[in-house]
Amino acid sequence: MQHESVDAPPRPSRWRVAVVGIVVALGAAHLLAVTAAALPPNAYSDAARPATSYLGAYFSQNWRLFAPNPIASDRVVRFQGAYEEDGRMQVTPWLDWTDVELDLVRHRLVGGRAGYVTNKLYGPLANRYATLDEPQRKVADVVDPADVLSWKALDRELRAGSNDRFDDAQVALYLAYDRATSQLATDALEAAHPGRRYVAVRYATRSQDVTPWPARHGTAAERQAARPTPVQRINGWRTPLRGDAAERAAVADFLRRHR
Amino acid sequence: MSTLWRLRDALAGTRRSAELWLTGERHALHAVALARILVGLSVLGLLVTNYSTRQVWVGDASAWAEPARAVSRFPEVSLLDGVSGDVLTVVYVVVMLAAVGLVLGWRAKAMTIVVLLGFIAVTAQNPVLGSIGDNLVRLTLLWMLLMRTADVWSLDAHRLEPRESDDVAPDWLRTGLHNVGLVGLGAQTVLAYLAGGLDKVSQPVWQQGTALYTTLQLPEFRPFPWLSDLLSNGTVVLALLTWTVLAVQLFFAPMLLRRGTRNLVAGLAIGLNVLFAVVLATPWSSLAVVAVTGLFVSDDRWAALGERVADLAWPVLDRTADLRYAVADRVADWWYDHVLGLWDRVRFTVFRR
Repeated sequence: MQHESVDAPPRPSRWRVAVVGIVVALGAAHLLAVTAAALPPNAYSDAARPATSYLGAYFSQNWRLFAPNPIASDRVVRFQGAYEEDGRMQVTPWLDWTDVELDLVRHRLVGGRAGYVTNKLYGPLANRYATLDEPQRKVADVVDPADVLSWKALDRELRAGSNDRFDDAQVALYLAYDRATSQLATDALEAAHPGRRYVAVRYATRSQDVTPWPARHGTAAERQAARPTPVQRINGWRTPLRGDAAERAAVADFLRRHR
Repeated sequence: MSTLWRLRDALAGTRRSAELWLTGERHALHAVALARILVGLSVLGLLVTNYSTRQVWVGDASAWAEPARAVSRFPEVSLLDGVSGDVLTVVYVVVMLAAVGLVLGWRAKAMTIVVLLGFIAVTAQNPVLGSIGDNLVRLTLLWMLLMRTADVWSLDAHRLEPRESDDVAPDWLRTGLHNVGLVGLGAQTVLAYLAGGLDKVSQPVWQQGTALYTTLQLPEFRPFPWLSDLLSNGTVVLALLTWTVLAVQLFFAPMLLRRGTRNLVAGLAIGLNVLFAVVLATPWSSLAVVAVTGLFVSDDRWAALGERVADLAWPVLDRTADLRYAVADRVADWWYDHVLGLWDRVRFTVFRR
């Protein structure tokens, strides 16, 4: 018969063992769920999605530096406004808002996040527009500022081209980003030309891939010439949306400091 | 039958070892303290460097972010939703001060909670401008709620009279929760590396060793153009850098299994992130990644490094002791006279009613 040594640690109580067991089991299950959710898209993670939905925003893991493909293009958003002067419709030069923002990050080790607004806005703007079908795009692409639609009318006419509720939801999302960008455009243009009242504003997006790898050793001019043709889209004219006084003041202050 | 008994004994032994590891002592206290300091600095750096443009980032002038904000799943967003620029500034400054507290290890647990909630409330106001570092900071702070992050290298560790209310749970449970947090954060870090590596390995640009070239051409990722050109034009350097990133991420997990390779892969990962912090101008994200990667460096190494830093800093601290104590006295006087006085007045007013 074996005897326990007098120096042996005391046996943990049953409830302590139970607590440890439960914590370990819960922890293991949680880490399994995190693993399923964090791995690149695969059939097993898809199958486990109902069980991993509890991870929600807090435990979701979205840390994929330069993966799968690093960004490879310059993205630019520009604004233009239309106003009446002496009874005639005039348009402003394009205001390159991305260039204004880049002042906050260009050649700086520690930049500011406000320097990436239009860069990040580019993706949703392109994606939302892509969901519109051809007749809807004809409605959205208002080419003459004198023909600008009210936001209500634009919403109604875009929805008239919807086939179902899914289409309606796509239109709502397109308009959400369209309104947000038009509001930024209005604030920025008013800050650039104080006192001017616009009858319509619009934005343009442009994306151009960087110099291809094989052309990297050329001169600056050769490298620039080797860049692929930019992809550009000019959005339709929209009714201006002015932000409140605080918003306009903040945008004007930003423009003054980074122009 | 004897096989069954041996299996039973083995299982019992494993259970006892696991339980001893989990509840016997707190592991990686120095690494966890360093993670607390670095994550605190990451949050503080992000907030300080964006202070002057906070209204465009997350305040009055961030209306264009409304579509993304509307579908955010963080309830903390509502804390600052629609508030005035002044309220945002107050909350913003409070989070910065809490981050300072976290770095110093002053009331670390409370500061972790304030920084976690405040950080989410601020950054989630503009989901469009979120970065990979935000995700990592949030996860780290979340797991830190379970951990004893201020047992070393903190003001809490030097408090003369620890408050009883700090330690309501039994020691084994506090130790167990610390170690569970450590395993949880470590596992998510390993997963992040693994998922990043798996994502990349299937892509031709990573296989060819040119993946970082395009990023190094973009104006927002070229703080030092000459350095970016040096790396992106040198075929061998770029290939080495790209493949090292890929190898470190892909083999991070298996290389943790042996002490020698563990230190190598953790050191390489930290070195790469320091390099990216400079080359790609991502200091705060990189700092957060370094914070969690440091968990895999042996605690003895961090302790030894801490002693060396203390040896170097001691003469400076010694010479400035009088000044520091004078400043601390004035801060304490201000705290007691103004802040606590005001708090008492508010408290008594509320209770009287």
